[in-house]
Amino acid sequence: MESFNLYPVLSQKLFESIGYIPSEPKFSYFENDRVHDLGLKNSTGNQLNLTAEIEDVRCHFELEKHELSVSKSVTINSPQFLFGEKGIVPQNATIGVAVQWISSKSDHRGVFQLGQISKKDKKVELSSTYHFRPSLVRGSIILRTVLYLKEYSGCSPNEKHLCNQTGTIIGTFDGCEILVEGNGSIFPIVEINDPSKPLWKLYYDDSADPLQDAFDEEHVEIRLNKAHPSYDELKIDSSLKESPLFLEVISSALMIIIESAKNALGPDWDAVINDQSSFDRGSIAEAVSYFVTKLGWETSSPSLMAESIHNFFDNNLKGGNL
Amino acid sequence: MNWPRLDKTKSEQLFNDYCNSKEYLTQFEHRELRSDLCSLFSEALAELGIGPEMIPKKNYAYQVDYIYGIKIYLLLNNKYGMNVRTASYAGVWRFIGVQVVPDIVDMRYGTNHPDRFWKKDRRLWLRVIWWYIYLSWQGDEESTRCVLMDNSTDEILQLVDRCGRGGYRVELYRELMRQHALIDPVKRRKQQIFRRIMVLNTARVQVVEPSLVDGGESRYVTNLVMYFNNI
Repeated sequence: MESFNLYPVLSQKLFESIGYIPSEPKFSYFENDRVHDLGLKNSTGNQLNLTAEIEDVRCHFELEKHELSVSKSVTINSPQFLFGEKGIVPQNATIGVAVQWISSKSDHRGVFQLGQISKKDKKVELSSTYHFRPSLVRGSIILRTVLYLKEYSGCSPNEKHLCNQTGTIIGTFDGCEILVEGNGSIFPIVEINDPSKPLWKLYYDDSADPLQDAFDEEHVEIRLNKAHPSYDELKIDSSLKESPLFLEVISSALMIIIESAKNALGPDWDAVINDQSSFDRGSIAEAVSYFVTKLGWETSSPSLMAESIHNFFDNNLKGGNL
Repeated sequence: MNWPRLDKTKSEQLFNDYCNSKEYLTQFEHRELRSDLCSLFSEALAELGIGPEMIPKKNYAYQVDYIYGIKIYLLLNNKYGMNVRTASYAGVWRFIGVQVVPDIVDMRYGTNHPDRFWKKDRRLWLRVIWWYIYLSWQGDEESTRCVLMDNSTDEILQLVDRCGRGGYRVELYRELMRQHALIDPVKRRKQQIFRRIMVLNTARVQVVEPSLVDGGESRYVTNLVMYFNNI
């Protein structure tokens, strides 16, 4: 559900004129009276929309045991454009900059503040560190740097269209999703060892509610059989490009997942593929909606679906995107 | 404690075994957990002065939910190291529900509600009541009891089900529970105030971040509640 704004929010044009300089969030933890930095690896995306995994060279970091600290800093070269009639808040208001965080797997979210800006500020550099207590987050953390109306003390007649409720989010600077544990694979894959079973199977939990239940190993999982004679040909440690067999497994599995979710959703299916449904973050429905709406897979019939999934992989492997 | 997690296949099997024989299999290492959970359940019923057959009657179901909820919240957290991360795994609650104390879940819901034992991740009874207490916690047992005693199972549903996109804002929910408890209980029930507060809140948090409001969550909630107090 997209929210409808009754007041101006940070536009692309305004964003470009204020000279925002983002920086990657920095993670660390504390052990034996010392702070240990955590690196980021497997980064994809850009500075404004990053996905990465934390990496502990010491291999000691545990979410159950350690407090996880995150530091974020931002620089804004010309914040004055944010104020006044053509901006997003009145001249005499104060803007706050904060980071919203979400750990959807542990059902938690929160906010921490970076600092504030007023009209008289020339160039601002803001930064802050937030500590996640041990055993709070799970899976990944989404961080979103936002602007909000912090202090409001009336406005002049030509500023009446601007936001006047404190706490209102009036713009987003950047966002990122950082995996804090696990293998980072978007696709839950496990290996089994059973000579009586086929090369692979897809486990799909038919009692799952696709709108709520997570796209994770509890509900969806590809099970590869190490004991099968063709297992070595899967070459699972190579890239997909070098393993046509594994690519076939993935393509078929994706098709089964979509078909299964379609069955389970019944009349809700149309809303999901038209992006009009309020499914939970990380849910099966979100994953399926992504395949269909963002990757453009055809789902009107099984044969067209198979064709479009194969086309997708062919085109993207050729372009080196996968 | 290193919490085991049960997948749905195994849970369904254990649940069916329990339904067929009404016997349960608690592994030796979990006997103490079972015995603790059972004695707290007896304590909760004793406090209400009822036997298990009375649970479905009147508002007893809710009384059992919140009184037993507080007891297991304290037990699991203090003695067995339960925390938010662990509590977010459905598999952990399936383990408790079908392997450790299926008979207690049975007394609350009966076996024709598999959703509450293992089937629906967000409906597992013990999971729901742990989160209900966590999201309502006022710092100590006594204060938490005070804000919960006049509620009903509808408040549990409204609070725990409205996870919102991404997750719960815990401080906000605790403040909501605190201020909601100050409204006259008769008016609350008659006008379904809590449900309406939660609906309005869900709409408002699309544009406002409660902790960033001038005056923080407390002011934000006061404004939400005021809207209904004036009706």
